[in-house]
Order: sequence, then structure tokens, then C-alpha cells
Amino acid sequence: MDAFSQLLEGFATALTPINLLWALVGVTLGTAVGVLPGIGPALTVALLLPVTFRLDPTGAFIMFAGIYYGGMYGGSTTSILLKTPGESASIVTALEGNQMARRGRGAQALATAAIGSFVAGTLATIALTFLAPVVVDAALAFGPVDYFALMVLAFATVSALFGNSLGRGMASLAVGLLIGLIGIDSQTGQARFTLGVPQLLDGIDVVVVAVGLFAVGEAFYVASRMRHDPIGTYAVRGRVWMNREDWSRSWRPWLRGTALGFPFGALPAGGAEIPTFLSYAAEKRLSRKRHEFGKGAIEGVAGPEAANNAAAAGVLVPLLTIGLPTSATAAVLLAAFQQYGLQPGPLLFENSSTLVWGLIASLYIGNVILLALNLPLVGLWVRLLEIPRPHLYAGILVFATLGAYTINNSVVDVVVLCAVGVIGFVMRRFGIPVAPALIGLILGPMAEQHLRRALAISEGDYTTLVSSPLAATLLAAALIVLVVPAVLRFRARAAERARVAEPVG
Amino acid sequence: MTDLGPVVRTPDGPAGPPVEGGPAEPAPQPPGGRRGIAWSEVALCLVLLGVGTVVLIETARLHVPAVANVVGPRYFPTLVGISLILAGVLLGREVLAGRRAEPEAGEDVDVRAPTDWRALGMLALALATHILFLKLVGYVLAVTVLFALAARGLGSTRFVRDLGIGTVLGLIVYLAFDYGLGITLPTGPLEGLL
Repeated sequence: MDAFSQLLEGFATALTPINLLWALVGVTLGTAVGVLPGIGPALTVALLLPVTFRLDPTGAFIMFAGIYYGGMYGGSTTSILLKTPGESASIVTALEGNQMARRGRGAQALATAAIGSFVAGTLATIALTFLAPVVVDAALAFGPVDYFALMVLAFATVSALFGNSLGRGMASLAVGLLIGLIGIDSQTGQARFTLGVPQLLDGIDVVVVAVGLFAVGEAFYVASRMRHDPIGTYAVRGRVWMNREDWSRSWRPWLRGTALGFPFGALPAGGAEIPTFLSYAAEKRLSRKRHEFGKGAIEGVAGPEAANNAAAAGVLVPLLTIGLPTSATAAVLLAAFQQYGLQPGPLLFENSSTLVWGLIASLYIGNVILLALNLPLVGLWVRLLEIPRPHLYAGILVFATLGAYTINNSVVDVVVLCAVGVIGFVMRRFGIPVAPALIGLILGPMAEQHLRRALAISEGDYTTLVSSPLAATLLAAALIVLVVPAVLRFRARAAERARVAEPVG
Repeated sequence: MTDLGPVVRTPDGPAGPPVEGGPAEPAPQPPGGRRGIAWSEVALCLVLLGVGTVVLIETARLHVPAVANVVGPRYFPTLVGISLILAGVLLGREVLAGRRAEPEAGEDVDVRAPTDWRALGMLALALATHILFLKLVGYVLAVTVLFALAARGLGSTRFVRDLGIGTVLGLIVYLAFDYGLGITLPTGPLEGLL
């Protein structure tokens, strides 16, 4: 019952009027920014970082909890009403939810997404509450070797899972690792890759890279190939409520989605895409109205949305307990922690337990606020979709440059922001995923540190890297992640070739 | 930079996840246009290989202090350089096999449109002016110019109105940061007025 008493203390922290206010502000801002097209949850958190600079860490992180969940929810609203997903985890929601919207059931799609998010978010937060202390206990025994292996596994999974080929994922990861090398080497004081620019000695701020890759890169990309035909937004008509049939078709998918989403999110390999696809496939198989799938089946929104939100909570387990971000949003959150001089990991639970448990408690509170806020305010959020695109992206650039400048009050950061923006544009243009770069940037320096520490302890003996059973298992898993998709792809291509070779007709 | 021009018209078919592109996306491209080597992507691979090589050379030139233990400051950058080169090789194999990049789909993006260089130039100009103006003439004016030029590049036609919106936006941000958060943005010659 230790976790429970600490959670109660967390609620005591989070329920003070001022912290409740921060949670409310966070959820509102997160939803509003998340709804804007072109802005996913990661960018939402990155853009709103400067707003929290003057808050105390506890208040700031309570606000972040709200922004995180609010950004997730806002993103699904955009997917349902505009069809195109802001991030890969909303692909399925976009597919099925938009079909509902086209048939005049947009209100029900938004409702099942909102309530499903609430159910999944709450259940997954409960799971997080009880799982986190267990992982922390285990993580206290981790040595540098184990940490290094964890990071290698994270590198392998983000390269293999994001984007549609290993080469592209790896290119992105390597670019991120390279940016992470810039600055003074903490162990020897050597300046590396600073190009002689003194301001680069401290390294490049993760927030600048995140905002540059996502916001500036996106603005460049949209400008380069703007969609000129108007996009259809579907008006939300009628009562924003579900009838009895909607409820009875929704509640099981919510629970199944949660059960799929949380474990996937909590794995050190992570990612929210796979559980959303699995949930969609499962609901399609289990539904009695299978024919409705692809034409607006409510189960196809309820399940994947729940899976997405449960995975979002699950991602916080490796992030908070071992300091391992497995999604772009988590990488930005980790950067936010570092901004306050905090390093997530087992020690965070010991040294800043008020902050951590306050954060976890406000995840529950944020969920309630989200539900209360979103059902009545849906009409307002929909209005945000109608901002003219030139003004929307010009505004995004204004806030991106503002965010970069206010980190150190330095124009150099704005210049770096633009340079990273160009990289982000080129990556989008060539279909190279952006998330691995961010994860490489933030984990690269940590991986280097752990590797050097491990090899220093073993006096250069490389077998130390597989000396602990955990590290050996993790490295083997990394190898499997890299090799298996390649084998599957090779076999699929061989099968295709065989099929093509057969005479048609 | 690389030549991004001529390749854009042919994204690969719906090989990936169920949704690609926006609503009412017309059916797949004529099959003939799909194959062939995309030279701008070859250039991208060369850039990756080149950067990787530069990283390796720069790493080799790093001074390693005598006190450094077994794994010095060169070790990890070497791994990064190798992975850049490896990524370039993997990508190069795909490109030379004729498989093309799928430009990222998005809410406001027409993946089949050719690159609009004029719009990109205008955005670059907007950002460059903003950077130049920040310290020189203060935050509010710098935002005005950034907003109006960027909106213009993105297709807005009412420049004067955009200048107005930019000024208001800049003022709101300036005042909110100054009074609300206690962060002072560069004031410039307007110092006496604000």
C-alpha cells in the first residue's frame, strides 16, 4: 500500500488551488494547441515549454501532465474532423472517425473518443501508479551496462518501427545522435563538432531541435506543397451524446484498447502505433457489425483511441522510472525535466517524490478536467480548425522562434532553430521520420556516458556489455527487432515476385 | 543543398498504413511513373555518406588527453559516423533499387504537388529578417515582419492586414511575457512606449 499512500500525498500536492489552476491551464492550452492542424502532441509540449519557465517545478510538471493529455485529445479531434492524422498513432482514428463524421455522426465519434480517452487514461494511470514503484525497485539495481543495453534497444526499435524502412529510421537516428555530440565532452572537456562557435560549447538545446524539426520543418514543408483545394471539415451537428447502442458498442472496445495500449506503451521499446492497429484489428474481428468497419463503425474509434491514450500513459512508466523516452512526446518531456535540472529515473522517485507523485496525481485530475472540458467545448475547438492556413503557420513560426529565443535569450538559438528546420523539411520531403532523431539526440549523450562508465569499470573488457542477464536479454531483443522485419520484408518481396512471375488470367 | 525539384509527383502507392494523404485522394499513380532512380534521393544518400565521413575525419583529429581512460571522447563519435555511413548505404540500396521516398502526408499537404520554391524562399526571408530585427528594432516589429512575410509566402494576399495582425500578435506576446511571466523580450527603439 506504499504506492497508495504516496499517491494520496500526491493528490494533496495536486489539489491545492494553485496547482489545480495549472492543471486546468495545461489541459486547456494542450487541447487548444493540439487541435490545431499540423501540431501533434510532441510539438504542443515543446511550444508550451517557455510558458512554464517561471513556475516552480511541481507546478510546471502538473501543467505538463495537463498539456500531455490535452494535446493527445486535441489531436484525435483533428483526426476525426479532418481525416488526416497528426501522428501515426491517430491513423486508425482518422480512418474510422472521419467516416462517422461524414455520415453525420461526428458528435458521437468525438464523444466515444473523449469518454474512451477518459476511461483508458484513468485505468492506465492506475496501472502506472502501481507499476512504477515496482520498476523503480528493479531499476535501482541497474548498472551502467543495463542502461546502455536499454538505450541500444530503444535505438533499435525507433529505427525499425518509425518510417517505412530501416535505412530511413537509422538516418534519422544518426542525425539525432550527431546533433547530440555537439558541445563539450563531459568527461574530458574536449569540444566536439562545435564548428568553432562558442555558443555551441554547451550543446544544442533539445527544445530548439524539437521545435525546429516539428514546427519550422512542418511550416517549410506545408509552404512547399500547400494543399490549395479546400479541406472539408465536417460540422458537428446534433447532441454531443451517444445513445444506448453507442454505449453498448463502445465500452468493451475501451477496455480492450486499454489492455492492449498500456503494456505496449510501458515496454522500453514502446510506441503507440502498434496497439492502435492491433485494437482496430481485434474490434473488427469481434464486432457483430463487421460490415460497418471502414464506413464509420464506432468500435473502430473507441478501441484505438483508448489504446492510444493507454499507451500514452504507459510511455510514462519507462520515462519516469528509468529515464527512457520511447516516443517523441516523451523525449520532449524528458527535455523539460532536464530544463529544471531533474533527471528522471529511480532516484527521482527518492529525491523528488512530492513532484513525481504530484505529477501522477494530476494525471487523474487532468483526465477529469478533459472530460468536463471537451464535451461541452467541442464546438469551440472545431472553430480553431477554421483558422486560415497562412495565418496558422505564420503564427506557428512566431511561437517557434519565441520558444527558441526565450530558452537562453539568445539569437544564436533562433539561428540553430532555422537550420534544424531545414533538416526537418528535407526529412519530411524524403519520408524520413522525425521522432528517431529526437530520441537519438536525447538518449545519445546518456548512452555514451553509460557505455564509457561500463567500459571504465571493466577496464576495457567488452564482454562486460553482456555480463548481466538483463543486458544480454535486452541486446538480444534489439538484434531481433533489427533482423526480424528485414527477414519478413525479404520474404514478402520474394512472395510478391513469385506472384508477379505467374501468368495473369 | 540537394536538388529537390523534379521527383515529387510520384509518391509510392498505398504500401503503408491504411490512410495516406487527405480526403478524396485520387487513385494511385500510373504504374509507369513509379519506378526509376530518383536523383535527388541519390544526392541525399551522398549527403549522409559525406557527413558520416566528415564526422569520422573530425573525430580522428580530436585531441585525446593522456589521462583519458580506455574509452575516450573519440569512441562514440566514431560509432555515430559509422551509423551515418551505414544509413546512407541502406538508403542508397533502396533508392538504386528504384524504390522512392513517400513524402510525409499531412493535413495541409498535397503530396503530389511540386516543390514551391518561391514560398520556401519567402519563408526563409521572413525568418532571416526576424533574426536580424530581433536585437535591432525590438521584438514587436520583428514579429510583425516575420508574420506578414511568412503569411505571404504561405499564400495570403492581404499584406497590409497581415502586418496589422502581426503587430497585434507581437504586442500581445510582448506584454504577456513582460507582465505575466516576467520575461523581457528585446524592446528596441520602442522602449519608451511600452
